[in-house]
Amino acid sequence: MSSLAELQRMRRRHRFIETALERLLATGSIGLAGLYVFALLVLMLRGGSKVTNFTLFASPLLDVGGEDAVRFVFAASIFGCAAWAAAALVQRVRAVPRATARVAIAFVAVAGALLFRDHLPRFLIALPSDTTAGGGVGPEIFNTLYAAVMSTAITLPIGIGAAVYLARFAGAGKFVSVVRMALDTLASLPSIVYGLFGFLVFVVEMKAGYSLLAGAFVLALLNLPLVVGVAEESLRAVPGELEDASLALGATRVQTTLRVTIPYAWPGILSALVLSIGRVFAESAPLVMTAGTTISRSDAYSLNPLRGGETLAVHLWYVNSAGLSPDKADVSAGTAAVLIVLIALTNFLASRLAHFGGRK
Amino acid sequence: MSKSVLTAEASTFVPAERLRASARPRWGEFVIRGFIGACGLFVVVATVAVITFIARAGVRGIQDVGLAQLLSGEIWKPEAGTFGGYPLIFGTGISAVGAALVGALPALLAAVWVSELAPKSARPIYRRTMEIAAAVPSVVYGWLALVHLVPQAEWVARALYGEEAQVTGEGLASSAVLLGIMIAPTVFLLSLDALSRVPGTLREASAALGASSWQTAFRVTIPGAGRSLFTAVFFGFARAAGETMAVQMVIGGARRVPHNLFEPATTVSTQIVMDMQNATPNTTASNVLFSMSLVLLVLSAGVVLISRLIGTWGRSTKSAKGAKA
Amino acid sequence: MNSMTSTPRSGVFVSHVGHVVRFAGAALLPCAALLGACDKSEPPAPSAPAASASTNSAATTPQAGPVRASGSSALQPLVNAAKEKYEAENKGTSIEVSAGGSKKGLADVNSGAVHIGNSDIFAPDDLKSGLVDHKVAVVGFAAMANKGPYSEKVAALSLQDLSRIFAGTVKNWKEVGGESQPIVVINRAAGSGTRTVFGNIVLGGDKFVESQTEDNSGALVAKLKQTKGAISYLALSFKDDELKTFAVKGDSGVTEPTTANITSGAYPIWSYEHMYTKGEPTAGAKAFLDYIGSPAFQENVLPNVKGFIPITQMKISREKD
Repeated sequence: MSSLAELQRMRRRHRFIETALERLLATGSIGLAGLYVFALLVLMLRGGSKVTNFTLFASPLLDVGGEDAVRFVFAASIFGCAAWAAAALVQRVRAVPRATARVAIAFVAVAGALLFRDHLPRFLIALPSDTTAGGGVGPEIFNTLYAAVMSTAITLPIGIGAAVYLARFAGAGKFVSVVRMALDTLASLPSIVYGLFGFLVFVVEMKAGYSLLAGAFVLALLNLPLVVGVAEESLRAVPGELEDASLALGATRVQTTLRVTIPYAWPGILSALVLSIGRVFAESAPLVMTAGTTISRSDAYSLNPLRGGETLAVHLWYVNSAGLSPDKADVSAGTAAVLIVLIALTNFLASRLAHFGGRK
Repeated sequence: MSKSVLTAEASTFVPAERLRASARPRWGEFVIRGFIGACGLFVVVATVAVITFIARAGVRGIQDVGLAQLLSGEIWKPEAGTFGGYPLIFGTGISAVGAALVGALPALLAAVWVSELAPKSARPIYRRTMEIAAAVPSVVYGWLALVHLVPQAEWVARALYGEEAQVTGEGLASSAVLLGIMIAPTVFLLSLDALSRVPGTLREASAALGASSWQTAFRVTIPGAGRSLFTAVFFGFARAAGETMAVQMVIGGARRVPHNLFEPATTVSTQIVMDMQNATPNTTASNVLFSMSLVLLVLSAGVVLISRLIGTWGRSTKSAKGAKA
Repeated sequence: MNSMTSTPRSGVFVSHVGHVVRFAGAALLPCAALLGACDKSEPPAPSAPAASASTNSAATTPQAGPVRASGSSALQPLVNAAKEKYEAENKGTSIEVSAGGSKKGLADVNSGAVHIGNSDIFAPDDLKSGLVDHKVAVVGFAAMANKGPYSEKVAALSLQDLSRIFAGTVKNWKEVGGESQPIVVINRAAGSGTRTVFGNIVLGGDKFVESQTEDNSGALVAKLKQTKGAISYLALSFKDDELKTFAVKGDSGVTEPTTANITSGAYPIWSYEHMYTKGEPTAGAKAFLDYIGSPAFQENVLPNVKGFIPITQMKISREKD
């Protein structure tokens, strides 16, 4: 009987130690998460004013090609997002038919764009400046989005194709394991190696100079393992019965894949692509060596993919290491804030897509 | 024949050969299959291309300077023709190890807490927070570190080494903490996934035997997910070793081995970025930079490969044990 | 996976909260933008065209695309001043200037990435063939340090003192006449022309002690202001009241880094500013270089840019660094 009392005493002691350790671990974990939340808040507060500083006067056009269109698109997106968020909030309170909501969002976006496109925050539409204060990141935002679109256009067909191959058409032969090994290798390369590769191929061998296309291509390579991995997982999650049924109805394997498997796995594939867009926003090392660190006034907003241009992440690095402008702290904060907003929007879009797919 | 397929065998997978015989051959089928195969081939070709291009220039650099000098030489002065890479490798190694200690370990413990010991409602919130933190670009962390961390590092260094220390706050300590902060969210998410993959039956059995959640966590779940956790930490380590731009902002760029953690130093990736701008292509200076990137490549890929090997080795032995039990 | 162990109610509530928080956050930002801080400042005044004494006929030369220049951060303020005046006078032209260091400028112009490479140094021998030199100005360099009580008494340093400080043999301010404080040498990165010029003249080569490097002059100024005991070398175009600039102590007394002393040769640390082109410059680059070399610029604009001296005022010359 004394041993039972001893056992109970030991249990109580253990429980005390355990609770203490658990409290410690909890504090540490909450502190860790709090650190990130705090850092992001500080960043948004500091840089947010740059992003939200709508002007009362109209900013004059800077005589750069395509600037009018870019201002319109920026303003339309900002107002469209605000309208979308407002509509979603309203939807919680009372049901609104979806068509009405969509029309309202479109109307607000276009109206806001027409009225306010010259009153956008100066930071968002001004050209960057190396030596004077007051530089903005308009061309950088454009380049970031353009590079993301180009890179996704390259990753989309190849990534889905490779994923379909691995998930549905691969045998158990050697080639499959070679492809998997290749993907593993690509995933384990540091990002600067991609930059060096792009530099060697595009700038040195092909003498094409810095170009956004080179940057987009290199980023597509960087994203391939991620996209193929997630897409393959979604494709594998398609229930076999659906495909059996399709095959039983006489469809070929390709038809089945194209009309049954891919549509079913589409939300997962889309979320993989959106994740890859998030990665494109965040990369800077490959782009410094392939797309360069300069903004050219004449093709700041040009759609020519063979011209160089810096993106937001590159600009954030450049301003802090090679820039001579006196307000670089402000510019850095603003650039970081814009980047965070873009990434948050992208993540939000990804979660909405996954949600939408789940409902289907 | 089709009738028997529909009624008798509808629930099992019908081999394609039986259907192909009845299907009309379509050229579109071959084209698309060809495209899909070509995508797989493209992946392989791209990987081979990347490694070949880097290796070609890198091998030329190794031939010019010699591997021993590149790995152990103590003076890196391209303008003088000396390419001793030891300070670079030292910086990368210490930064990555420091990052693993400062970032990966706390992230692991946090994942254990969230997955095992915290109230269940906290998990999605924590997960979302860390997903957003993981999506933040590394240069943003680098800039935040430059503005807020480097002055603190200078203060700590002066506290440790006296007011007269020759420090500016940039150095291996700042770089290690920055990298730790950068890899912690990713390691957290990977560990959380690994821990959640441990079957619930194991946890339930442990609880049925009278173990507290603490005991379950540390004696059952963590060993159960052990190899994957190891992989997660190694992955973070590899990412920390390869990080370039953010490290360049806080490490100081002094091309020598520092005497303590608070003196300016350099890493392989930092030096590659800084020197690449001035190097003329196809010269020794340029080729040596590719050789150093080969070193980085081998280090990074090697670490990931080792971690995967450990992961699969563990799994195969465990499944054997499971089968026996 | 997780849902097995979590209660449905809490899960739905949490996701509900999450949705509302996300939507609210997404909505608040633009709303705050519209309602909140509106920029009430005056619109930026359109840049008035500069009154030019001579009309430059470069406006009629067609240029396909902008003229690109890169390189020295010491020369960058001057090139930017020239660019603003030139673009204002010649509508439709566009000059882009970026930094990166003199060696990057030379590498870029050699590889064809830019039309003009800005450099503080003469092109090294392996690059010299094929590059055409255009000297545009003279700039002086000086050792500048963090202002503090330890260095107040030190007005000037001899070239030997400077050489020993930057080589790392002298480690404390008290050894050169100040109070006890360790000297923190901050270098420029390897690609910097400032580093090469200062090294050649003061140390007899690149014999700097290995220490923290800064990528460009602007970052260096910021670092010097915040680090106690720090000393480095900068072009006089970055002279700052918050930094202590050292004169050179010689046999004949103390020589301040002034324009007069540099042009007479009494102050030894100076160099030409070069703008290199690969072969003969293209039409647009030639027009820009002609403008910089024109008397209108050299006499009216250049002397007003801090730290730069027209070459015509130099009473001595140099063939190499």
